[in-house]
Amino acid sequence: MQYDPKNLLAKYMDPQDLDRLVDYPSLAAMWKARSCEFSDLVAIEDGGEKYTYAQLEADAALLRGALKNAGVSAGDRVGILAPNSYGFVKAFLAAVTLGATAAVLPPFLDGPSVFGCSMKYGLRAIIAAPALEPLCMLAAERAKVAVISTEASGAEPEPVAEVAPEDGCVIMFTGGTTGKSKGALLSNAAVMQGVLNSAYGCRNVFGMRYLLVLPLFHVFGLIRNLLAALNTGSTLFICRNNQDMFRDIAYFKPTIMVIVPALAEMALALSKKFGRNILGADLKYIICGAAMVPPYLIREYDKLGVALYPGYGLTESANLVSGNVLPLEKPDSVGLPYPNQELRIVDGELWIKGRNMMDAYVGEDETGVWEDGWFKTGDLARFDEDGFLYITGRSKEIIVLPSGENISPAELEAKFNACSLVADSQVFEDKGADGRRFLALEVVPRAAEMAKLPAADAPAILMSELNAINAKLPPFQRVSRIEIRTSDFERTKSMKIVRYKKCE
Amino acid sequence: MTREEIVTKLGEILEDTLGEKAAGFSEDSGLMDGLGLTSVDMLYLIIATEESFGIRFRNIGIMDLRTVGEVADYIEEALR
Repeated sequence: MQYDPKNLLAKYMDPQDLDRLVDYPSLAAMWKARSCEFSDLVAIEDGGEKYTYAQLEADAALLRGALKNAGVSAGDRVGILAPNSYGFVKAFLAAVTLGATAAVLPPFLDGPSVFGCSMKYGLRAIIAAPALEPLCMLAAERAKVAVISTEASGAEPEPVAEVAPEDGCVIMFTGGTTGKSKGALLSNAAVMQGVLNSAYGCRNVFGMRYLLVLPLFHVFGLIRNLLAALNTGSTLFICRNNQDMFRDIAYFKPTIMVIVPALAEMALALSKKFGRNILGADLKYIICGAAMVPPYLIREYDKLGVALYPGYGLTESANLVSGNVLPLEKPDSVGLPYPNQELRIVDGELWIKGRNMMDAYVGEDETGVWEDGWFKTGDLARFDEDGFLYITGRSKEIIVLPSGENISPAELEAKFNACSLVADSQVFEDKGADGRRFLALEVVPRAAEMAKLPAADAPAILMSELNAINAKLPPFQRVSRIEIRTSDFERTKSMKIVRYKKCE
Repeated sequence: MTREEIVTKLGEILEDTLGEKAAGFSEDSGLMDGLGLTSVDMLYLIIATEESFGIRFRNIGIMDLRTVGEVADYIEEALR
């Protein structure tokens, strides 16, 4: 399935903004053009300082010089070890605009892990925040990796290099949803496609004000926040500490935020408690992903005048695969696929190939990852008649009933989660005392909505709504037991539910 | 504001995010270990506490507060 964005996505965008989007051959070419075009605008605001596009390019040029002095040239790999900060931004830009591949290392790694990454990815140098430089000592001593401070000065500025689309751009760690975390190598073409995809969907994309709360070592932070902002003459405010997020919002007045559903839900609960939109009156768009977005959030934010757009993406696909331009009409969908990729569904599983896809997992066994050039996502999906994509679960989470019928827990959970009284739910297979297997449902009530009901009746009302939803399901999908929890589910670090495995 | 009033108000904030599970909490209740607050719940607790009490958590991280009593101590000190 291929789409022409000019035709399909154009109607959801300001035509002038669409015309200003350029398909650059590399991130280096994009930065060279945009840093000139927007030279006087503020690119980054961090730690009380504002840095224009021209200043950022001047600082990146000095770091390119420092990399060159350390013997780094185009095609080499350079580690970036820094927390969300202006230092990270100039280090990342310096590496990729020199033609090197930036291996973005999570800043919580310890010394042996930094050394391990240096060996595995063949790093020539690491640009590290001053406070993290000691973590690179082992790599410097044993792997002869050059360690350069993000604050290094004194080198001659080095111009932006010519970089080809097929040249490596970045190595990003995957979330490890399918097992241990792996390093996905993305080419310049893939990253540029991801950057372009970031611009489709919202009506206006140029001159926005982004407030960054997501980590830059994740594609959602790096591509959908930082690079999307730099491609559009926007300003990125770096929130150093999420505890200060709402003070930063009051000061910076963002027009767009890219956040995970749990954070959107929390901000909504605070807004309701204190009777004002805590994300600020200037906010126009929320881009929400990395987990399933409850339709309730879309509706509630719409009431506050904020358009919340769900989307779907992977580290392996340079972040964005699809984005929902009609969230109110199709709140369960992750939207329309972005251009220059092909999507197909094989035995329920989504397979993708296209310009945005990674080259490889670096140094990993890739058995089962690809088939005939298609990347197998492990996600179960379907399309509707309008070409909108729906993610219905993970292939390995499928429950095969004794009858042989397949149940996707996530697909069922989405139906129960559509009830505004439900914060989250889990459908699983359980076993009775007689050994008989059956489907069960546990739900976590949404406290803010439950509180609107008479306390004594609330659980019964919720149960009655759940029973009504259950009764409308095809018979084989109906759950046989429903339980209302008094606490949240056990969750992973990325806030995903730890699934029960009661019948294994 | 008395200690009892502070703890009652804190209880309301905990109930927002935890629902029934907040019932029966005490000052000794662990926030993450005992009551099971997630990192996002902790953020809610911090921000809602700052707004409700008109204080600011300075030089202290979310994860430095381990029990309901420790949050109440901080509020009491900040209100002085």
